[in-house]
Amino acid sequence: MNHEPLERLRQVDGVLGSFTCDALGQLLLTDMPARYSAVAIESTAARVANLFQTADEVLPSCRSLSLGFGQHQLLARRFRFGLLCVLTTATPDRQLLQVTARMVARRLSNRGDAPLGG
Amino acid sequence: MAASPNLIDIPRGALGAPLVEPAREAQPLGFDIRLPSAQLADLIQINCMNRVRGAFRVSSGQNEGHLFFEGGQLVHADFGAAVGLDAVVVMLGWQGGSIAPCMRPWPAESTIDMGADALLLSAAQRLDERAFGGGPPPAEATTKVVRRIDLSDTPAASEQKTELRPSRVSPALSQLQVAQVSIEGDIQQLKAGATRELADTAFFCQRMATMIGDTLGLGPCTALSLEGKQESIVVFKGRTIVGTRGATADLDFILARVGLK
Repeated sequence: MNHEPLERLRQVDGVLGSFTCDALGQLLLTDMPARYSAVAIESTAARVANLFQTADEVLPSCRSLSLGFGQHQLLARRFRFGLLCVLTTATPDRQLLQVTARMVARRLSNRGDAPLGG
Repeated sequence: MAASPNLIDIPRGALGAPLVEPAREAQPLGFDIRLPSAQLADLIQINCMNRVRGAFRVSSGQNEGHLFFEGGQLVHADFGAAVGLDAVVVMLGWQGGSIAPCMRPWPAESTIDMGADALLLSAAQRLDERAFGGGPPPAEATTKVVRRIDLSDTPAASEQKTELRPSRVSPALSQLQVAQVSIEGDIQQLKAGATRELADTAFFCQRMATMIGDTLGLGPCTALSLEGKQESIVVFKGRTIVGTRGATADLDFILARVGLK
């Protein structure tokens, strides 16, 4: 999978990697550190999609979710194409990340080889 | 959270339980513990966790307030005319002092109706607002007496009951729904209109997030948020799993406290 559109996210302070998946959790692109196996990322994508589906039942307007772990966070945002998930340290540059994520989503939406939309 | 009285002086029984019953206070069997670095917030959490029942005097200089614990909750606090959350906020803001069990007429009514976690978060928000605002909390940001606890079977309560004045509750805080769920998934409390659906969602999402953490080697999920434009849900895990739902702006302080903002 060509992860070039996601590389820009790595320039943001605190970002360790990212991936995208469709609304059902099917993995589309990954730019995650090598220590995370494809199986683990696929499983994570499916569970994040599951979380959004669960959220829809109680919070129909849910657009993003943040998961906090001891030293890391997993941030996911909904776009028309599906989900953009970003793994960060505990204190990422959230402002820059938010803007960069929008830029990446726009770029993904313009790609001809994937059904993406920002 | 701002500094708070930093000296806990608690007589304890042989099994480690604080001796807080008035009749036993005169002859403590255990140790007097002095912990110079202890915080009032720690005492509140420890007493709630151990389901301590009793009254504590909190002193700082010429100031003196009281805390009443019952059934795993801080059920009443007073400092002068201030009661409930207002009094807790004042005492948490003290820079030092001492804390000790005391004999005190038991309050006729509870002035605090939230668990230790939610209470300390609310108090922290008040302290932050005070720090930023540079003045006392607004008149509308006072605590309401919301739940009556019948403690008439206690000796102290039968001797004298403190008259408590009702006051008003902070509109933003009062609109936060709170659902508390045990680690096993049993719903423990639903407050301010919280539904079983919120409780189940909080539990499910916390577990699902922890599975993600385990898969990626990140450890258990400590907190999560589901964010909408107008409304959001924040879930955090301590001894229990707590789900809060409300206007996104009103949840900002919780997000900051759990490290998600």
